Amino acid sequence: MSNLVSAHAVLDALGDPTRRQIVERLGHGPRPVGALADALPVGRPAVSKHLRVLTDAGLVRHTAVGTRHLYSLAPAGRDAVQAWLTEQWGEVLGAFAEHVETLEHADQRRSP
Amino acid sequence: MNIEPVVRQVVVPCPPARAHRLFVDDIGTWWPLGEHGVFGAGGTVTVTEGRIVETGPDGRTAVWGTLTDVAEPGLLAFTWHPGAPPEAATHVRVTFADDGAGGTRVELVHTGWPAHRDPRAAREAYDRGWPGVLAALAAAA
Repeated sequence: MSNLVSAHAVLDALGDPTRRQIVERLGHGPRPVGALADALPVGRPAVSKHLRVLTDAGLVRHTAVGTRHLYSLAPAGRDAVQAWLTEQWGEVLGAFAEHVETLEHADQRRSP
Repeated sequence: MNIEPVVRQVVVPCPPARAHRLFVDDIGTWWPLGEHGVFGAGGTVTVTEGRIVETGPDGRTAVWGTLTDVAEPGLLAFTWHPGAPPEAATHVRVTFADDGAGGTRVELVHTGWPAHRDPRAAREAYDRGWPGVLAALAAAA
């Protein structure tokens, strides 16, 4: 499964501050939706929606214990985050290179 | 259990001294704040008194990190904790090397995620931001 986790899905999933908070809460151990909602400034339906995005991105998984649904971090999430981080720094350095290129081209135009 | 160092490179068309200077002095111009900032687009980021500081559109500020090693033209190293307190910092090291063709090879290495952590301390330290997310996922793997 880990190879199938898309860096783009992870990028989108972690682009939201509430979802980042959910991931961090789950870092302390599996939680039901209700416990997550109690600890966050958003309602339970919103938390459920965020959990669905995180699950689809491969960051979170859920297990049913009797009638209780517990959410936890998926081991594949680590690889996904590594991919995301690599992409982040690629974008940042790409933006820097673009800036330098723009300046250098402007200088060349000024002094042909 | 650990997150591997992240290494990225880019070549820019100017000498290392200029690349180093533009990286620091122009950071507010080139950094993609909309995609990679704490407060989103519309603010600015500066390197001031040895710290990298983002100012949001509403005037709020966030310290991303503190410079730990600056050697012009070759090196820029800093702690990294955007959106999180300094205790959650990881480490970024950027080197600027002459590529032999009039340009500079810029290499960025991001390291320092905890392999293990104390959950109670983590709860205090990792409230928001990427380091916390990374630590949580590293611990889950």
